[in-house]
Amino acid sequence: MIFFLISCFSFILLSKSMSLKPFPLWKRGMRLLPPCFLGELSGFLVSWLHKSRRAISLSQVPLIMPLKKMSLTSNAENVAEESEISLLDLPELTLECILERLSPAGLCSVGEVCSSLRDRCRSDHLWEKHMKQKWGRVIGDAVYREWQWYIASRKRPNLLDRSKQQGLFESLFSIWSLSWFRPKMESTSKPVEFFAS
Amino acid sequence: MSLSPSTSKMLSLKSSDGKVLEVEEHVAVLCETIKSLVEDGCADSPIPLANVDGATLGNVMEWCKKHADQKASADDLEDWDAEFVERDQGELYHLIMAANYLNIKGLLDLICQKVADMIKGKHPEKIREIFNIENDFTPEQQEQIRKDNSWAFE
Repeated sequence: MIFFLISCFSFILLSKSMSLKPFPLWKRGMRLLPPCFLGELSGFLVSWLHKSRRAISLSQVPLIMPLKKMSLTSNAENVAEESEISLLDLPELTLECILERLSPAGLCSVGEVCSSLRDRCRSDHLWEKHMKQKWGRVIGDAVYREWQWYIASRKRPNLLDRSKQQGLFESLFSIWSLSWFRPKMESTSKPVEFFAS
Repeated sequence: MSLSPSTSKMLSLKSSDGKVLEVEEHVAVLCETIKSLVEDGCADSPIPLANVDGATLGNVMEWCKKHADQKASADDLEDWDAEFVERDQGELYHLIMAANYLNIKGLLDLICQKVADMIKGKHPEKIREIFNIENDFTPEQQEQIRKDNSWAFE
C-alpha cells in the first residue's frame, strides 16, 4: 500500500516538475519523449523514494493521501493531451492535399496561424489554381506570358535589385493593382477577346 | 484487379497491436499498398500493417467494404461518407495516417476535405486552438501578415 502511495507521489513529483516549464514546451516535450524514457524516469524516482522511505515518518502519510486523487486527475489530463493532435504532425503531402482544398480566404487565415503554415500557404501552386479559376477566362496567353516574364525579371537580381524571390502571390497583387486592369474588368462585359488575342 | 465478390478469397491483415482482421480480397485491394502485395503474390500469410492500429484498421475496412460494393449508388455513398467522417479529431488523424500509409486515395480525399471544411471560415486563433498549433509569430510579424492579406478582403 505504502509502495503504491509512493509511486503515486513520484508521479506527482514528475508531473509537477514538468508543469514548472512553460506549457507549450511541456506539450512538445511530451510528444518528443518516448514512453520508455518516462517509464525509466518514474522508475528511478520510485526507487529513489523507496530508498528514502525510512525518512518519511508516519505523520506524513495523511499528507500523501490527497495527492493520490490529484494523480488520478493529472492522469486524465495526460490522456486528453495525447488525443490533441496538431495539424503539423500530418505528412507533407497530406497537408498539401488539405491546403489545396481551401478557398483563398481559408488559405490566408491558415497563413496567419504560424510561420511554417505561412510559408506553405504562400506557395505558388496553391494560388495558381485559384488564379486560373477566377481569372483564367480573362487572362489570355499574351498576358500570361507577360506575367511570366515579369516574375522571371523580378527573380533576376542583376537586372532588378531584388534578391528576394517574388512569388505569384506578390506579382498577382501588383498585376491586379494596375489601374487599367480593374475598370476594364468591370465596365466591359466581354474583355475576353481583348486579352486573349 | 477485377475479381467479383463471389470468387474473392479472404486476406488476413494484422494491425500494429496484433489484431488480425479477415477481409475479402476485393475489399482489401482498394488499398493500393495491399493491392501491390496481392499482385506480387505476397499476401498468403497475414499481412503485417505496422502503422495501423486495430480500431483504425476496422474503420478503414468498413469504408473499403462500402466502396467496394458495386450496388451502392453515388448518392448513397455520399451520404454514407458524410456520416463516416463525423468523428473526433483523434480518430480522423489516425484515419488520415492509415489512408496515407495504405494509399487509399478516395479515403484520403474524403478526410482531407473534412479537415479543410473544419478550417473553412475560422479565425487563425480558432484554427490554432482546434489543431493545437503554437503561434510562433512576433506581434510585428503578425501585424505584417495581416497587412499583407488585408487587401484581398477589404
